[in-house]
Amino acid sequence: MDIFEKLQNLDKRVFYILMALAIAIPTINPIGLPIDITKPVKDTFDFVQSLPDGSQVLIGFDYEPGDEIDLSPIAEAIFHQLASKSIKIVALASYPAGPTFAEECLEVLEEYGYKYGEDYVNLGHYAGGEPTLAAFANDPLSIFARDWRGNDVSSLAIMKQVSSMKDFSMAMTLNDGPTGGTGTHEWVRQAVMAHGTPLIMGVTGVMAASNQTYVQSGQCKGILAGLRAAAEYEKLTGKKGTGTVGMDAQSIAHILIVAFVVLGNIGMFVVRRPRVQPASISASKPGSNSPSKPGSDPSSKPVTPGGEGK
Amino acid sequence: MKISTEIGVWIGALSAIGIYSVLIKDNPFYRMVEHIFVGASAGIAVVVGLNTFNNTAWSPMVQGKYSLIIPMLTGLLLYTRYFQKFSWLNRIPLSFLMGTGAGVAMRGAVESQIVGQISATMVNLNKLDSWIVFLGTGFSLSYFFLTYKTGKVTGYTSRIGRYFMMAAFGAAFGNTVMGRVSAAIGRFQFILLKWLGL
Repeated sequence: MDIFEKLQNLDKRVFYILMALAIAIPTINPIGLPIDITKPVKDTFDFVQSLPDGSQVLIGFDYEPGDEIDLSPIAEAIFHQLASKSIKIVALASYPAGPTFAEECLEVLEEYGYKYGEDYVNLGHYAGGEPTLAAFANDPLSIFARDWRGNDVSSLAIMKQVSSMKDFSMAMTLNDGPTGGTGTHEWVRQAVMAHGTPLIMGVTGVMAASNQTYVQSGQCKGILAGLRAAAEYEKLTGKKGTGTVGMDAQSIAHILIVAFVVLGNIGMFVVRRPRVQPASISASKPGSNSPSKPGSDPSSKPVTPGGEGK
Repeated sequence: MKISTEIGVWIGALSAIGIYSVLIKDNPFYRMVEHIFVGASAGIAVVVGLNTFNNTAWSPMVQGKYSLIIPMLTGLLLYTRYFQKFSWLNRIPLSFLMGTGAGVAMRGAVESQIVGQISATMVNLNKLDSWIVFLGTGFSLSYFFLTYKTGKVTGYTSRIGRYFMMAAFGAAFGNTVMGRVSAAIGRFQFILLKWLGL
């Protein structure tokens, strides 16, 4: 058995161990690989930078724990930029776990002297998906009587400046899909189409390609996809965070995956044998003088129209 | 190395290790953590759901917004499906939910997902990117013309369309791999940096 045959039969646990090392070593000892700024991230940054200072923005935490690493770093990175422009933030969530992530991410605002209820608020979870978002867009107080911390929403200073979606200078959804929550399509319909509020998206890597179309059509002002986009955004804001820390590990892990894909394909082409017809195998058997009966030879297959034996 | 002393961090780290242990072999530790995860997720959903119900319906109703009794009672009808004699009643809130959802979605769906997307492909053909968008859309659409027999020309266009779609699927797959690696990075950061303090 040559090296390629051994690679074809490699125990998958070896790959798991190599992958674990590829992630663990750069996490403990960062290499500091360069991070280039891509156009979608730069465009999003420039758009947020163009928002009026002191205005209000709406941020939807529409994701579950499995996608926290992709989306929470994006939220934190963009909060630094919003805070530098004294922009007020209203957070809400369509997933039950969303308000918890909102609380964690909103903590970065404290270093800018933001006060809860005046400069930012976590409204909490809303059930019902798109219809509820539509109702919120028309009258926010009709959906949230109390915020995540139990305060009367109508008494909060920040909410007195908001009577509909139109009062937000920008909406943003941090989104991992429509299953169980409000998806990106719903946000486009209710924020952009219904009220003309500019929208940006923070999405998981999986969703990037399918939502890029909204950016190309101009319906969405920017898109940030995954941890990579968070790292780029952190570089633009000058505030290093989880995204930057994770980029070395991501790059090394990707190199490992690509190496294994290439090796696996080379191995497949080298090891692959030309296919031999079952009938010819039977005929070439030494000592096989009598015609074999159907089913008597385990290597023979029934001849079916359009099948291998045709 | 400064190991965390927070009980929550310890539970999170041990749970993550328990989940990853299935990569070596299915084992009781993995099973236990898996069941805890499912149970905890359901528990959180119930608590947050009750909190949402209290904030958006019960509290405002108690404070005098009595019209909220109507949606609350209508919502309760969803549970009549557990009683054979009254199960037909659950169609009332279901049809209301379906109708409202469809109506709200239709408000912007045509413009955002049909008109907007089609108009985005009608680009000024002065750049290579624009040509790729224009031709890629046309060829990909030709792949789905199933109402007539594919001829020589349409055979070529649909094949090229298939290559365009494969490129799109490849991009989506690449992003998916990136997302999965990100998830692993998140857990490793938690275990190595937050738990073990390396």
